[in-house]
Amino acid sequence: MSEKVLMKGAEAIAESAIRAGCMAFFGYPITPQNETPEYFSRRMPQVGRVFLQAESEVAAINMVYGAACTGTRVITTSSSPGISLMQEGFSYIANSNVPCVVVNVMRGGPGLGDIAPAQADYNQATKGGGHGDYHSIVIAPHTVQEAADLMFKAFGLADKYRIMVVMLMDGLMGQMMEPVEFREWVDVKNNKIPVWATAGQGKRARRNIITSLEILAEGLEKMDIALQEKYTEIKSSEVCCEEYMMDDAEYAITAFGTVARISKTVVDLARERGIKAGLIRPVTVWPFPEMVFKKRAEQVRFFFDVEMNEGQMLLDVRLSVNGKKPVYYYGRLGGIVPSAEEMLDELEKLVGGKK
Amino acid sequence: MEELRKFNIDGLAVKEFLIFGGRIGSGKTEIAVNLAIKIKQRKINSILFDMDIVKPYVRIRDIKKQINSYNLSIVSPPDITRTLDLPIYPPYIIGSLMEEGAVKILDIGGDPYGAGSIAQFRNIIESRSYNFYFVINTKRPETSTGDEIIASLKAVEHASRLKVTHFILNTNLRWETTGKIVREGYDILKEVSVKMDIPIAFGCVDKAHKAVFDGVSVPVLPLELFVKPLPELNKNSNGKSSF
Repeated sequence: MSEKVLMKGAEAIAESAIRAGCMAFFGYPITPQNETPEYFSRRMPQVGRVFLQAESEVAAINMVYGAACTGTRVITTSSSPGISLMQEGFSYIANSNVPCVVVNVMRGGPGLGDIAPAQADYNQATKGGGHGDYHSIVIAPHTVQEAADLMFKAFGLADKYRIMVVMLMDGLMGQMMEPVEFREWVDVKNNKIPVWATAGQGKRARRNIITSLEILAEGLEKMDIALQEKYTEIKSSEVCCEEYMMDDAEYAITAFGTVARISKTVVDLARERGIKAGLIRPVTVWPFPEMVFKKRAEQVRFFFDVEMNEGQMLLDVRLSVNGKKPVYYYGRLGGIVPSAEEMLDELEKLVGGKK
Repeated sequence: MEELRKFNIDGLAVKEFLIFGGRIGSGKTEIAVNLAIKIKQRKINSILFDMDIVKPYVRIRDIKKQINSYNLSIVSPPDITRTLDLPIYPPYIIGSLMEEGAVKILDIGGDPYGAGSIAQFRNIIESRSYNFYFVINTKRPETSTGDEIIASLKAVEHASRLKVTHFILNTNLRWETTGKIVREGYDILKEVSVKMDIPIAFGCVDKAHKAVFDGVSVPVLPLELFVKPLPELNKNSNGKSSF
């Protein structure tokens, strides 16, 4: 690990991506994640790698697609409206089975919205967003250190499954500064071109072709089924979830990202008041940690889902709990971050009413 | 234990403009707000200017509620621009900058971008008296070595067209700050200070952890921290996730 430094989340993900062997960044600026491209713009030339500001998000994601086809570790970062513009590219990347990492530092929406932190792109990230039967792996860090650590994991998963990995952050995660240490650099000197990549025919008898096109329905169905098989494998081996104070919990708060971070404080405050609360924090929001919820449904009296959106993860929680226990929701919209105190108030109301 | 060297607020308020610049995230806003409070408490006529048009969050206009009780005179962009991405100054700012008899504390945006935005007011600033404080946290990217500090100093001076007059040592790793970290930061900045002939005006520290400045021979301004977007995690809950 490196010596500790003080970084914004938006800077830490850039440094970590570079250390993880990311060779190219393509993107277009948007608040509140401009520190990320700015950091890349300074650091990538220093280490002999590519930084390119495209003319739009549409151009940027297609550049990512192109670089990904050569088996190069590549990244783009943006915020909600910019991510919306990239959806077509995401869908092509999915059906082309190429690896890349995309960071969405979410802000208030819909539409132009505002530049405050939000979590309202959960559905877009986990349920597709672009067209077709596809998924991306979606990971949601809750501290700057975790974001830095998960960036290595993101590139690893992208390469392993030839899939797009989305890091779902929000404006606050991007802007807040915390101490962070980085893993050792990935040695890129001996990078090998993967056999599937379109980076020159080499000694192969035939050239590789990467495409998301299949004109015949029977052929396309085969491609779709192959994708679903890949997703099934990911669901069975790559679920990640943190449980905090859940061993003896009677009430399970559940949240991801920034809200999960605040929820840990809420758990501590609730316990000081004699309420046995715990936290279930999905780290991968796709694949969703269904089994954790299923198991805890036997133990807790209810689940309390808190999000900075209108209750998007709520549906995944309800599906996982499958009616065994009540699932309540509290959320703030438009870019407002709920405070620990207001969350605790809501929890106390629910506990008071259900004891 | 050596007593912390006393911080002399009256010595600061002799200049009409007190400008706080530096790298993004170096701690300018906290320091500017704390100084404004101290100056106000000395009953010195003063105005605090929120001139950060670089950062989208955690600017003075975002912590107005927290500092409301100090009754500071604050000039900042209209509230409506708080969650818009509009890098503009309000028209009334020039009138306030020209107001005579008040100490004007300027919290400017980070990096050359932020510093460049005040170059347009250079004539006003230079025609009066000013101190330009360059805030350094050696634990932040781009100011961790002497060479990096000099490069960012020059970039900020070039953009603002103003000369930096003092350094402020704000080396910290938030709650993980130790005496060793502060001393290392001091050693780096001291060398630059001698080389560039720019004095270190003072050091800053979270007032809850003053002891980390023991043995560092600069006056110390203990900070009341206002910019706290999220509660700190307790040690047990910083659990790492594993796949």
